[in-house]
Amino acid sequence: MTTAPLQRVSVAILSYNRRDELHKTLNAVCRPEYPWREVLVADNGSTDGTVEFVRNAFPDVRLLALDRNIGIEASNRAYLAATAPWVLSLDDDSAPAVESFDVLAEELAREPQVAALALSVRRSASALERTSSSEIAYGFSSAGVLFNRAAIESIGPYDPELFLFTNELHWTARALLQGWRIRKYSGAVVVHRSASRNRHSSKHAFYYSRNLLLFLLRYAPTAQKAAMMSSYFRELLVCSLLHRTGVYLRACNSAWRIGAATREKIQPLPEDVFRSINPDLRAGFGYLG
Amino acid sequence: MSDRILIVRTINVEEMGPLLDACRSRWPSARICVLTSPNRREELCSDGRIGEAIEYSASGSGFGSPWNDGRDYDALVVPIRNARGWGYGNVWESVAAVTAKSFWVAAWSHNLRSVSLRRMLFRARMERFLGFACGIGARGFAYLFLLRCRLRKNRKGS
Repeated sequence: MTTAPLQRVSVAILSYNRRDELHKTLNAVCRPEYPWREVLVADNGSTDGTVEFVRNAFPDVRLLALDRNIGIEASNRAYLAATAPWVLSLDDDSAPAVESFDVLAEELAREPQVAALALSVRRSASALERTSSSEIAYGFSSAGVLFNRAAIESIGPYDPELFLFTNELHWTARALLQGWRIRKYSGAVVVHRSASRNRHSSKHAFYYSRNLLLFLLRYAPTAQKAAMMSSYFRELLVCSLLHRTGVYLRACNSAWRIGAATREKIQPLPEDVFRSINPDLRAGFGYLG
Repeated sequence: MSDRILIVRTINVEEMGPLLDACRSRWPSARICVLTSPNRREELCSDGRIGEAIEYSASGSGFGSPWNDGRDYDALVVPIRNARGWGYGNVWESVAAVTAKSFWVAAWSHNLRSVSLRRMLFRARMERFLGFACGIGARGFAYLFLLRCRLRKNRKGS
């Protein structure tokens, strides 16, 4: 493997109270085969000893230890602290599965207008059919994406008020509105182990629903905005009754306040672009209560 | 009746494993068929526990249009992400015509519980009614929501 291409990539990992998962991820990332420019871990105030563990076991990792959980703003800080022109974003439970990142970095050099290169995020490394082609995409997962740092500087990082979930969706809309492209590259695979901890809770439902409402408010095409929001509100109301929970109403209330306070972010997308992004508008996503 | 069970709709891989194990322990010799969207089919075929992945093609996302392959099944299982089974009316309506000896929900995607098809279809009708009733309020709320943002803009602009 040649050293030069990966020297153009910084790795940014967001962590929160999943020390064992982060250990697996760092074991997979900090290997001699991957001569990254640097590896950064942004820790959202973990209370399970993650910070001490990283300091002791991985002294070469640049650690951004925050004193409290600030959600995706921690990722933003890691992206902006990265010194390489490309930033590989990973979750604490995701890691590169194949040694194809040198080819990938060369691919990036050919595509300066690409804001982000969505990698092939899989649940397991087995049974993969890999191709090295890249195609236009309208979404990605922070668990496995290469950001063009120039794009982050131009578009801005994730919207911090979202805190958690759908931040990629909002960022995609902003990137497309500014004329950047997103491509999907299936030649590099990231295995997302999707650890169950922190994943299924009413918080999940709250942030997902609220942020989708904000997404519709900001980016749905003007002609369809009211109909789409009405349809999603209906879903949330039905879910509230069926699951006997107030979480969706709280999400509406929060979206109501944030939506009005961040009114300047309303920038409707063209219909065809919005259709291509195709947000999942089913309510109750991830809620097990 | 053939020794075959049908799992309707797919869930993520972490939840699929316990579901398949639960089905295998209840119906040890049955061939497990899974009704899934075309983009999940390939992934499911690679799992040795799944005998057949059947494509369900619908115009939109999720279940909606009726489906029946004309075969008989020992059991039909719908994995759900809650305990009671509310919120899956569209799934039950889609497979209402399938011939099966028994019907099950997999609560939390792994805890198998026998249900009556009639009861689940009754729930589906209730869900539909709720959706209609909530639609009226939702429309008003959506306009109010948009109006509020517009008013803010005017106030800021003036």
